[in-house]
Amino acid sequence: MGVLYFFQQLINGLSYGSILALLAIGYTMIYGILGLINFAHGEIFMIGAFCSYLLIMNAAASFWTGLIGAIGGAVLAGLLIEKLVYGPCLKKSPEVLTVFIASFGASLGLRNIFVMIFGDGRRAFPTPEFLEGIIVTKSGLFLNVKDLWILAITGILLISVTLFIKYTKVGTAMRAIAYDPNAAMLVGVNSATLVLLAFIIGSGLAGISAVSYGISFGIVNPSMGYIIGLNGFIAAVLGGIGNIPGAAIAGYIIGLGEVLFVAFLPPAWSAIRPLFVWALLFLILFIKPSGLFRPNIKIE
Amino acid sequence: MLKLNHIIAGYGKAEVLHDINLEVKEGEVVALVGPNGAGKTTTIRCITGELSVTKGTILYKGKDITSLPPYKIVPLGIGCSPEGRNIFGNLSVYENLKMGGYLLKEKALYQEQLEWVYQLFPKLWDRRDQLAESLSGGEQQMLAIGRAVMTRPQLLLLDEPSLGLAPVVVDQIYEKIEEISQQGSSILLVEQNVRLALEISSRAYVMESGQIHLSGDSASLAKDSYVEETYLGVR
Repeated sequence: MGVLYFFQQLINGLSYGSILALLAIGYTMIYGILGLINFAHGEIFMIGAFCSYLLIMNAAASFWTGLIGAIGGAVLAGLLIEKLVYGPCLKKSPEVLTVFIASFGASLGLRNIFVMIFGDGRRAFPTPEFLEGIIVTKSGLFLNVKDLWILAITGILLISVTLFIKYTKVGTAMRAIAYDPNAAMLVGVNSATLVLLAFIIGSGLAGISAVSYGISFGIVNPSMGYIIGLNGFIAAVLGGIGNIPGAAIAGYIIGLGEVLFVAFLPPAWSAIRPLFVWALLFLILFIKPSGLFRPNIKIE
Repeated sequence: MLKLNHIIAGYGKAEVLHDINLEVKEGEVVALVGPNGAGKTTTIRCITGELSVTKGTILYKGKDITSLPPYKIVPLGIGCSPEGRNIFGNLSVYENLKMGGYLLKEKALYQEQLEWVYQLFPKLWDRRDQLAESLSGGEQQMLAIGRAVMTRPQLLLLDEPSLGLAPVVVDQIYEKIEEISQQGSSILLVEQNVRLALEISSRAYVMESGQIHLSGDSASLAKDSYVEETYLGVR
């Protein structure tokens, strides 16, 4: 277990972290604007993966069309959930608990609809040839081409989202509304538009994340969004809720941590891999409940 | 300019405002004074569109704006600095002002307004990159007013600008309010500090338990025996 092995695992961790980082942004963005945890976000991710899977397998679409399909499908799912579940729910009874349960309901409902239609078996995700290669560096490091693609695309997306949130007027308004929706209203922000925008961005990123997952793990199935969705949510909490770069960094911390946890502990321990994430969440809630970075909400 | 006709409004089943009639004319500073819980802030919230009115109409420049959402009211030229200031603590001072100009489409106008606000409150310029949360109470109030005037509103609603501030700071804020008024904004000022409000305003309404109890020239109201006894502490 030398330096090489460490670097090898580091790249695996970064690749997995990329998937979580993109997911975590959706959780944190929607929490910032609506003040609710969208537990159906994992299912939006799953729907994205299924859209690209079905397009590529059944409609002979190219990988790129499949990717666009994943984004489109995830965005559509996100908007529908907002329109059919959260919108009416927040209008009728804006209590935290009601929305919380509705969110779980949407998650369970969607997952089981997909189980009914497709069965819960795992299906092989069609990874295109150009992503299958392995590059061997001079030092003997094995680099999966797909990992490099995932890292590059995620990197570009994360930088774009961060710049958007930090410097544009709409991005600033999204942060403002997270802190004080009423004051944002008073300067003329139409929150309904921004809610839709948050669902579009968050779900779109989940769709891309889902394709990364597909090519990375090689499978899709209706429950694929469950555990990874929880991990994304934990990343959002760890990064300081509402803090978008924070959520992304926390996604990488969890991804790296989980992979290194498995890589450096006895193989028998790998079964308790999920424990790492939960132990981490427990620690954060215990030591620094507001997360590693500054939350982007008003703390009374 | 602004006219409230027989406004009835409240929260849920609790009626807070019972038949409010109020007017602000072009160029005026009008004060709305009264004790805590009289319905002053509720009146403001009806004008900004935060709260929909149960009955009655609100006219702005002859146009019916009753129960329009805030994002449709702001572009008409109505700005508001809310009670408790409500600045965006997670944003920098500059970003707060940027949010104030959220609806300004023209870049040149936005720049001009930004410079004007920084001139009005030089302290905001000094602290432009600081988080708004880190400002003192007085500076936060300046920021809230600065944010509200970013669109150079023709009608400015100020809710309790003196609340919780030291007298020296209150004087500074009130100087700026006069300056904003001289620049051409009409102002509706909600204030618990009745003496101060009657000094700066030309007309005033005294509100008690959701009704306009008295109204008239600020100068004559200041001499009114009821106002003197109840609000100015003269015996």
